[in-house]
Amino acid sequence: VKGKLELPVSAVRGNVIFARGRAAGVYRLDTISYEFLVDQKKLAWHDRLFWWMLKAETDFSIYRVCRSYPAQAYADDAVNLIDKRYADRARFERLLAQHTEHLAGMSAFTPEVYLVVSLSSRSLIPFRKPQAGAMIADANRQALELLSSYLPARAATTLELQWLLRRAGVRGVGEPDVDPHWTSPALSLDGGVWEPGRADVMPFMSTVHEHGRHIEAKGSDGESLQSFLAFGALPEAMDFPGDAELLFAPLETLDFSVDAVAHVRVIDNKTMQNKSDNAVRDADDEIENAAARYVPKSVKRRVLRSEAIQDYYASAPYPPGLETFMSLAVGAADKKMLEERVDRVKRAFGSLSLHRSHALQKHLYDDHMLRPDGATVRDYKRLLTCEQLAATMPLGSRGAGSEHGFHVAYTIPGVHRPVRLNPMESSAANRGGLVLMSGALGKGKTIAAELLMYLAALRGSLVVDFDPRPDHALEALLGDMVHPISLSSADAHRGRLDPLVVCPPELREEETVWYLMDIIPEAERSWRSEVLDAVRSEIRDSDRPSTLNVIERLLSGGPKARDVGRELELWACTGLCKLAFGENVAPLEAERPVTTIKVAGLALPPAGVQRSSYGHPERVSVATMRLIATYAMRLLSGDPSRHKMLSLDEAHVLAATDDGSRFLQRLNRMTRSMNVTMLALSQLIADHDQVADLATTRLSFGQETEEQAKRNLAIHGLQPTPRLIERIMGFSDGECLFSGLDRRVAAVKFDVVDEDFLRKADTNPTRAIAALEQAIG
Amino acid sequence: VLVESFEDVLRARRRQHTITFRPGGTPWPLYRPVAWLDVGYFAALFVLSLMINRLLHVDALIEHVVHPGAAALIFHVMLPWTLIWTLGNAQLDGRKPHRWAWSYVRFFTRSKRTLGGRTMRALPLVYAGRVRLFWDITAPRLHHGWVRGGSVSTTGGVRFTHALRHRHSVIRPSERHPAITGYSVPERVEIRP
Repeated sequence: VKGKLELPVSAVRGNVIFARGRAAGVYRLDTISYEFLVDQKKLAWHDRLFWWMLKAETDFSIYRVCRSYPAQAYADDAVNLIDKRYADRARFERLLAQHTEHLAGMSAFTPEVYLVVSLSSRSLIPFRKPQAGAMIADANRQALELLSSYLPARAATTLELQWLLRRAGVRGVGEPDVDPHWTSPALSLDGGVWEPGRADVMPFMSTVHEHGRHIEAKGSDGESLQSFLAFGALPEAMDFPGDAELLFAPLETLDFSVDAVAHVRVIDNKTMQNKSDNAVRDADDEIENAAARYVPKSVKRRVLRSEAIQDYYASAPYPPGLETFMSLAVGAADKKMLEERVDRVKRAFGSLSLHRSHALQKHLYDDHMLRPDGATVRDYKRLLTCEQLAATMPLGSRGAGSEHGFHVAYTIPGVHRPVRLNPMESSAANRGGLVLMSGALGKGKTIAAELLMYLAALRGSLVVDFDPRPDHALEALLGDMVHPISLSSADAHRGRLDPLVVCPPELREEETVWYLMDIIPEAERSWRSEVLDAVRSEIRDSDRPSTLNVIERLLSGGPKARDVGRELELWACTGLCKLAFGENVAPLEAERPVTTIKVAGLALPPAGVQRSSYGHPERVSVATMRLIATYAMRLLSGDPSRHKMLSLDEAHVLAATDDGSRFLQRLNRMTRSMNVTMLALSQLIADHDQVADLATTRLSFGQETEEQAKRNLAIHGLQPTPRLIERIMGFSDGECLFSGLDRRVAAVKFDVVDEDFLRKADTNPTRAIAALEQAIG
Repeated sequence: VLVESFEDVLRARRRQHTITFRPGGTPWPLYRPVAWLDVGYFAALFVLSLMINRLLHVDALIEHVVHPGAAALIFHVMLPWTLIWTLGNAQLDGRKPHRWAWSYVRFFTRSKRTLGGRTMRALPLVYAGRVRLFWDITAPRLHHGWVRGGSVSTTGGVRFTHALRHRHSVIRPSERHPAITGYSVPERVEIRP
């Protein structure tokens, strides 16, 4: 062995790293779901970064590194979602095992951002070492306080420091085996003074075999080929938000992990003013001395730019200059894959020059290691303004959904990052449990809803599914867990949906009156009070109230009451109305974990048709649907400690009218106290849709009209820019905009995990026939 | 918002745009501005070229190829100026040519295989035949070893386990387990302290 030992970190104390006489604090920054933020919020994040850089007044490094999605941790976490009282544990664990295997195969990763801030402690005592004791601790605390006042930050843990050091050897290939018991052997002395000891980081180092344009790292955690690309000169002007987001947008389009580092040396404002003064003097000289000859436009422009930068540095807040080295690291298991990845990274950055320097790869590898002293490579340092570096937006990421929940989807495009959803989350947060799923026909709403119901049923929730078409496949998916209730206009089903029987007590009176008035084609306004009176009397006086008794009460009343009674008597024997009129019919109760209600002969109006244009069958169908919704709520009105899920397909039929909208709002209010998650599947979103505003989780699938696209963007709080409108209209099967309880928005694609699920649940007739043929053949 | 880069302006050196042949005389515009620093470099190189010529008589060699009057011009003026212009303006791999050349020299002369800055020769060590390993449980630097093929026997107790994210077997010392004799390695096995 020859050569000097050069470790990136020679000592560690808590989150402070030491090497080569320098100390730096390592802080972890939270990433933000950035892609779909409105411009004002993007600018607000830019400003926060900018002001921190301005106030920091010290050298720093930004590490944007990628961590593989922890599939096993998912299983450990998701197992807590089970309701042991009702779930089949073996089946639930099989589901989680399937998810874990699928997630492990996705090779997903999430970016993590670490900030290494140089801690410069100055002592009044001459020749005192800067590392000395409490001064570094104070500087570390102050640095964290300053950082936290602008950005979501915390001190990095020892485990994270270890991970940052060890992962360099397996970059782009896998994750290191982190030793949870590793601690840095720093010495603690009495009296609160400490001195860092020598950190035993040697075992984390990999053997590096240097080649011209790549290196081979071999360590105890694995082997990896890595190549490093340094940023060349940046364009003269870039848009923000837009192409200036160099450490966010291009990296997120790639489906493999690319690490980025920016080492920044802060140049004080006075030096920058001198530089800009020189630039102005030179530009002025050029103009003055060349007055006798032709002066090109570029020279005139240079004068203006010099003056602009002079003004910039000479005015408040007197920003510093940032001498910045930025580089990307790409890892792969073999040479071919590495070359392919490097090409793709270059393509992702378009015209921006990325230099894959020959003979410098080992140094660039060192610069990507966690280190307190910034870049070792002197080339490729760029002089940036704070605005420029802030605009690279290293905090940007993509993601949505719940922290703990089932894997239901993944982000698109680029890396497939798992998106989790916890249906119980809204009840736990004292919020209504409305999940709005809007989209045109055939865009994947039904399959997404079936997936959510399937997961809820397996975890032990009580599920009620209203299937108006009927084309849901819960029976095929869940087998004997499903209790199908089929309703039709046959006499055998008479009275099954009698509103006085099936409605929950708090909705009984209002819903009965509404239903009875709604099925009469041309009801007089004055009839309403007669009906209300009869319904109230029936509820008050009868032990077993029924709508047929209400008709009898009306028929035995005054002339007006008799008129409405005769009208209702006529309709009570007609078509679907039979469902609401019966005598002594006991309502069907939920016998199994999943109840699916299918109604034959329901003639729901097409989406977008005004209520005033409804024919009588459509009015009856809508009224019946409302009864079914109330019936479903009754089925779910049991033990509030058990989570329930209600799926309401074609919900736009109810949401399109004021009274229907109010009805849905009432249901939504009930969901909170009853611990219910209500899935409202809707083809359309009405203008100023109040139901959409109430939703805690919103999923906007592909849209067919620009107007609907705009309304869907509005419910996610997004500006309807042409790019977003085009994007939402271009969503295909299962792709949607997703925003959850925390209002983070991401473009995702639903992921059913199991191919068999898709085969059974697919409502597309052509694909269903093809699948059947494949199964037979 | 338009985010502008001013690097070209800030990095620009002070330059001379005109030349005056006598004090108070008419300034003559230069064909292109000349950086003051480049003039300094040129002066240094000019002196250097004079010294080299004094020792090696390079201009005499050049005179064999070109006109005698042009040889001095080429060696003392054109060559230094070309060198300075190249170093100031050309880029290789996005770097200044001299930086590029220097990194190449360093690349060809330094060790290619390193661990923490130290040169590593012929690692991993591959042994064949009968190899005796000693476990030192308390030694923090003993990492691991691999056995590919063959068989493994131990004098102390060991247990078989698995690496967290790999499929291969791992043998670890364990006082609670028996020693193994002639364990046939199916593909490869890792030995960890």
